[in-house]
Parts: sequence; structure tokens; C-alpha cells
Amino acid sequence: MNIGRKRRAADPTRPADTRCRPEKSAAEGGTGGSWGFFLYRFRRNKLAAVGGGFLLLIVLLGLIGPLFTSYNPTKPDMKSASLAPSFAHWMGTDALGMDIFTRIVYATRTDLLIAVMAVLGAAILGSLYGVISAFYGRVLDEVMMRALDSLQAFPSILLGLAIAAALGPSLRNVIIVLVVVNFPMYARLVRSQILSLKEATFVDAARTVGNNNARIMFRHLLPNSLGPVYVQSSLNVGWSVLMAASMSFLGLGIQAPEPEWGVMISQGARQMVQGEWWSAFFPGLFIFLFVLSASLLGDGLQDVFDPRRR
Amino acid sequence: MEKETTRKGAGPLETPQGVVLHIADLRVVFHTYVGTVHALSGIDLDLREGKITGLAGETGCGKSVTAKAVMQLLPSTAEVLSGRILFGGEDLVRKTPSEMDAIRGKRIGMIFQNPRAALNPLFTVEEQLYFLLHRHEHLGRKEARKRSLALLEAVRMGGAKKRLRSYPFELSTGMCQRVMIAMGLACSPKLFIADEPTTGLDVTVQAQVLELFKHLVYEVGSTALLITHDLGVIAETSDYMGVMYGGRMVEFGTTEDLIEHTLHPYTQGLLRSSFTGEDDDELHYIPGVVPDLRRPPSGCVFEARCAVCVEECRVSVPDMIEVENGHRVACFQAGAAGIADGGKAGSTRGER
Repeated sequence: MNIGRKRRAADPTRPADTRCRPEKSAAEGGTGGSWGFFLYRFRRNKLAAVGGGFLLLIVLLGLIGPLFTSYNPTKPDMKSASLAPSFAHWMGTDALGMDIFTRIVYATRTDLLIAVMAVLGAAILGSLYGVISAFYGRVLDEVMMRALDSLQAFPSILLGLAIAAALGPSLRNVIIVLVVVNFPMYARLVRSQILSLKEATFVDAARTVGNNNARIMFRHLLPNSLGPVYVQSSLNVGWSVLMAASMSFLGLGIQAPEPEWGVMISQGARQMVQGEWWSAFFPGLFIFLFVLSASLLGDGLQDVFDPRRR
Repeated sequence: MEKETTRKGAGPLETPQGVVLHIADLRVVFHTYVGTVHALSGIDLDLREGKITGLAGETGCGKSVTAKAVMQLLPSTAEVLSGRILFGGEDLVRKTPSEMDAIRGKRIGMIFQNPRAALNPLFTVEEQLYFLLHRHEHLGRKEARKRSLALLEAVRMGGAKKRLRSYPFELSTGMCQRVMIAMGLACSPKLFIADEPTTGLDVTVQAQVLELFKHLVYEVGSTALLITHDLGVIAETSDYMGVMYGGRMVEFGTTEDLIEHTLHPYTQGLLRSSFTGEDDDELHYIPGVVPDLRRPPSGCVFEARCAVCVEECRVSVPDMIEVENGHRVACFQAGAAGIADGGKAGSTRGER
């Protein structure tokens, strides 16, 4: 039935309108939107902005970098092997004569793909795991958490190498390894959030209007617990690249001659003794810059999402 | 009523004439790591159709547990030992979770003590209302928006159109409670439960919200259960009132009867400890503390704090006895000579 129409009929003088006015004006200040506030907080944090800017540059490099180079990233050219940086080869060439800059540009694509897919996969899998574990609690929670414990008992690089060795080295398997190694962190993060959130009044209130378990979990609890997940993801992107590079360096990730930062360092390292510093230095520099900027961005996000600093 | 007929099987589940919600012998315990807490030890309660019934009592007396039991929202540590909650010819205690999901919001509405915490911070007012209207009334976006506007106007929310797009943090607590009331009454539920609806509000807003609550409950033709520790709120709003203490109902009747002809010493104590504005400006209190419900006393729950208790009170539990038309009380001393002016039974701050 229509309450509104009925009420007006019952009470045509509507004294309520005057009563409501103070409340109305009080709340008007807040309608600027949460986005404005978010950006304001974010701009205040200079380091995070620097990190974000760098990250953006690296992404841009991966996207449009090939426009600036005419070399083939995987085709050896023995005539121009081991050249020092010059105008023709901005970052020199490696022992097989492949242009380092070109390879770095294409490696950026590979590494960004790995990082994004790995973090996305781990965050999604971990969040679902955490929500279910925390929401149902009791025995299920216990079993699921102990399973995570045993997974995390391995040093992550060892676990990663073991899985990669079993599955075989490939781009897809590197992503799988990173997801497996990373998701427990997200699961714990989300679980701890849900454990406190599920006692909140709005969960009871959501039930009182007829939400079922699934909706409570995925529409009410999960979205409210994602703040820390965003922060963790951003920090995790850098770490994932580092891990992927390590695996490739050790020969269980991306395989040469595919361009990838870890592979390039591995190849370049052999050249170091002959004084050819550039073939390992530049990919190393990119890893360093990437991980650093991802961490700065993550720290900035943490400030934005951490309610204690608001 | 047929008390012993059905515990587990089917059988007639009829509520008495004119009663919307019939609670009989409801016993609820909480299994906690410090022991088993007897939160409700046999509550009987009838809510008369179209009336507002208030439940009063101190913290921990079982008011909210009663409400949550009706809603089947008791935490996982709770166990319903016995009792029936009859609503619309069905026993809510025996409902499956998905059956309850269909009832909540549609046939029973509820609002909470802290309206700000009760609204999901990530949804706008429109989204909160839309789910409800879509779920139970099967309305589309457009119709739901129309209905939501009407609802917000019904709860006297200024600038309803703009408020639809607001998030809870952009609203004042009073406005959040108005939204909650709109949600609670959106489907014109048969039963409306308000669990301390005005506790977190300013006194002026409190009066507005209560007025609104009363007005809408009558208009929608709902029956309401109003839970509060503030006797003033009950006195102004409800038709009937029950007073609970230590997990038991100690007195029940029309609000007028209970306030004018108070029979239970605990109710008297409560009344005396609320501010009346009369010339006696001493603030009274009831000496002692609420009994430990892990080991409820063998006699009357109020015995330890009662000024007029006798030997019998320590030994056996008084039953609810009807004194006069519908006014029931659980006290051996009720109506005894000392009780009429039993107002002097308690202590005052001045004396100690």
C-alpha cells in the first residue's frame, strides 16, 4: 500500500516539513561525493603521487613503447652483439645482439600481464576463501585456515619453484604459482575483516529485510571488507613482479629468448664479468623502479583507506 | 491454549483471537565460554492486533533476545530450549532459514537501536530500499523509485528526491532512523519490531521519531513491539506494556494500568528511578545488581533486590497471575498491603 499518499491525506498541513529543515541543511555539506574526498586525500600524499606517476609511465611504456623502436625483441643479430649504449641502441645490446631497450619494452608487457593477472587471481580467490571461511566459521573455518597454514609453512620461493617444476615453465604457470603463493594473504585479510563485520548491526538489519546468506556474504560483507584488499593488491603487484623475475632468473619461469626482466638479468649477469654492465643493469633498474613505485602507491592507498588516519 | 499438544509434530497452531504474535513459554540459553546463560526463562507474550506493546527492563533482562528470537536472528551460540512463537498460524521457531528470509521484511519489519550502523555504508538510500521492494513486492527500478519517494515522504524526510542518492554517512542519525522506519514499513508488515529505536537520538529528534513511529504503525495497520529501557517512551507510545527482569516477564497489562496501579515491586522501582518532573526531585534507584543469569536464583528473580520479599520468594518462582482484566503480575506480594504505597520500598541516594 502507499503510505505516502495516505499520510498526506491524513495530515494536509504537513508540519513535518518545517521540522526537517535543520537536518536537511546539516547533511548538505556531504554531497560532494566520496570521490572528491578520495582524490583530496590522495593528492596530499606526494610520495604516493610520485609512485602512481612512475607506474603510469611504465604502463605507458609497455603500451606505446614499440612505437619508439624498430628492432625485433627476439631476433639475434650477431653483427651488433654486446654493444654499449649509444644513439642506435639506447641501452646497448646483449650477447646475442638484441636491443636491450626493445626487449625491456616488450618485457614490460609480459611482466605487467603477470603482475595484474596474478594479483587479480589471488585477490579474488583469497577474498572468496576468506569470506566463506569467516562467514560459516566453526569447523569449516578451522579446516580452511589450517590448510592455509600448511600452504604458508613453505618459504614462498621454494613453494613457487616446486609448483613450477611440477607444472613446467610457462607464462600461465608463473601466474598460477603466484596466485597460489599469494592468495592466503588475501584470505586472511578478508577473513579478519569479515569476522568483525559480521557482528555489525547492518548485517542483522540486512537479514531483517530478507537478505539470504549468499547476499549477506557477497553484497553486504565482502564489499565492506575490500579496502585493505586494494592496499594489499597494490603492494603485491610489485612483489609479484619480483617473484616472477626471480623464477625466470632461476630458469623456472619465462624462458629465453622471450623478453622478461628476470630472464634478461639472468642472461646479462653472465656478461657482467666482461664489463658489459648494461645488459643486466637496465632490466634491474626497471624492476627496482616498478617495485618501488608500486610500494609507494600502496602506502599512499593505505593512508587513504586507514580510518585511523582520517 | 492447547499447551501440551504439539512440541515437534504438526497440529493446530492457532493464535488466540485478535492476537498477532503469541509467544508461549519461550526459553533461550546462550552457550558461552564462561558458562550457560539463561537469557529467557519462560516468556509468555501476546501482541494484540493493531496495538503497540512496549517491553521495558534493564540491560540484559532479555528484551532484545525476545525480539531476536521472533526474528530468528539469535547468534549461533544461542539455543531455544522450548517454547513457541506463533505468527500467522505458523511457529517461527520451526521455520527454515530460507522460509524466514521470505518472512523478514515482508511480514515482519524491524528497526534497530543504532540506525547509522544498521544501514550498509556502501549502499545509497535508494539501493537499500530497492532491494527490499524488489525482493518482496517484485517492483522494477522505476516503480521502486516511485514507491521509495512516497515512503521517504511518509517518514517526513525533507528533500526526498535528493536523499535517495545519499549514502548513510551523509545523513544524520535521525534521518537514518527515518530511512530504517521506511524500510521496516515498506511492505506494510503485519508485525513491526522496534529495538530501542530512539536510544541514540537527541531528545527532540526522539520525540519526532516516536510520533512518526506511532502514526505510521497505526496507519499501516501493523502491530508493533517496542523495546526500550525508557519508561517515558513506553508511556507515550504504547497501548500495552510488559516489564521484564532477569529473563522473565514480571508484569504485563495496559500501559495505563501498569503506571497507575503498579503491582510488581520491580516496576515500582523502575518508575521511581525515572525522572518525573514532580516536586519530589530526589533521583531514586534500585539497590543491588541484576542476578547472574548463569545461575538464576531458585526463587523469584527479583528477590535479592526486593524490599518486600518474604520467605516464599526465596523458595519458589511466582507465576504470572491475572489480577484484573488483562493485568498480570508475577509476585507473591502483589496487591499486599505494603505494596500499594510500595513506592517507599526502595532506597534513595540521599539515604546512603
